[in-house]
Amino acid sequence: MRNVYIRGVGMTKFGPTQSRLEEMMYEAAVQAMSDAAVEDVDAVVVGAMSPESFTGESNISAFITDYLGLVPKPTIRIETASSTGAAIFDGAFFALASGFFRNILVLAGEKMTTLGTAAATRILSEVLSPQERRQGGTMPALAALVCRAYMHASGCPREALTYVAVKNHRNAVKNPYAHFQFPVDAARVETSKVIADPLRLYDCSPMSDGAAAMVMTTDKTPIRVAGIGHGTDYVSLAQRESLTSFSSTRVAAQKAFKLAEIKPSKIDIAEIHDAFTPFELIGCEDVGFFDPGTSWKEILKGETALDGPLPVNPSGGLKARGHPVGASGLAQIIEIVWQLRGHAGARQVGKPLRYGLTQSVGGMATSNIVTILEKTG
Amino acid sequence: MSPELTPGPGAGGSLETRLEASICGKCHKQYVPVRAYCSACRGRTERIYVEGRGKLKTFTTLFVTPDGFTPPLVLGICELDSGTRVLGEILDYRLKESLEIDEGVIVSEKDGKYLFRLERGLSA
Repeated sequence: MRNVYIRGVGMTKFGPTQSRLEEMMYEAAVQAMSDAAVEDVDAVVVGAMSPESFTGESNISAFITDYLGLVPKPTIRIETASSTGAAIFDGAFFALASGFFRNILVLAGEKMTTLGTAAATRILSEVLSPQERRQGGTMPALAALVCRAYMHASGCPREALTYVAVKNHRNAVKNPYAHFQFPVDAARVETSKVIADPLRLYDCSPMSDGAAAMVMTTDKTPIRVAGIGHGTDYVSLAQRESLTSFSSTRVAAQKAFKLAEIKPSKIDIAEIHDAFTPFELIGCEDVGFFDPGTSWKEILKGETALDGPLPVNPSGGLKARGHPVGASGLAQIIEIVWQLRGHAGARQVGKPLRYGLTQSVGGMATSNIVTILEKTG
Repeated sequence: MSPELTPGPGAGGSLETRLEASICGKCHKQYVPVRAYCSACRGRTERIYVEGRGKLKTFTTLFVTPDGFTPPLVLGICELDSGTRVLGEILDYRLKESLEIDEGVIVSEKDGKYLFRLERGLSA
């Protein structure tokens, strides 16, 4: 198996835009190819969760490859709901590791704001089990069921959820790519509208437009893909083994750390899938940073703050950078690339960084992916 | 529910609390709602009934609901005494402010939806 490296990255500013999906993907791809200093690639891997529903487009990989001027390169689309952006990275990683390709352009995007919040919520809920949807289940509803079970089992107070929202908004203020570039205080979070108790509006990530792109390569660069893992879980939330932990993350993390031949304590910085604030707490436990049920204590001590020992979501996370569902998984990896390179601007973590981790959640944690990047140069 | 279904392990005799389920012929894992094949071992399943009785493991009140539902909608997950968990709607509207994890729930099925009634509400 060959080593795989990251050669160049690019991203649009997340948030509502007049740009079409292909225009956003073009902008991100041109940046990534320029950053990588390549004119051409061997293949294109495209990710989008639901362009069929959001904007009425299918056959998206050929459409985008045509739009980018990369005909006749082979192109495929990979889709795993909200972890799609990480899944294209996963697919391209193994294609490159096989030795068959040298440079692959991976790009992901979602255009979510065209139809309005009610329609977008319906589209997002299509990923749930048919029976749980029939009951009126939505993504925030199922996240709320997980949140209450987690808080009950761990003793996690409301204050810890609020802390995650306040921290991630504070980080996003320093991120010019973020959807929300404003701070929020605890009172604003805790008096925001209840969506599905105990989750309030500011516990939930927004509907965003956005695209992210990356050139991955087998040529040596300063950023190596040290580990990757992918796990799947039963689609029905009720039928899971646990309501307070995502086994698909645990499986993915174990595989990623095994491949990287390091332990979780070696990770210097992380992007964790905080589509809902409790998911950041659970994610930090499932990847092995903190013991089950203890994340909230560590987070309230400041362990994951931008200037803490293990900064989590320096970008602002899905919560505040925004969550164009197909793109978020790749945007997380790009943030780690920028941080490892020292290119993260005002939100650059000050301490020396070697290993960075991302965790992406697909659907209601049915298809979760963990990646570990290493700065080698 | 068809009357000729066989009882699952531990299922009682009361018709009111019977819930249609599947049991895997190979590994005996149970499913509510029914499904044709086992997701643990790919074995073919058989229809049984189980006791629609268990404990509430988590719950939420939705103030933003999908089309066709009126807020507030109270959803929960019940762990049946037979071990299977199922997501359903909690009907005892007046009691929703005082819901507690692990309290007793009676589960019934109507038109493909699971409906939960709180045990403490039944005598009230």
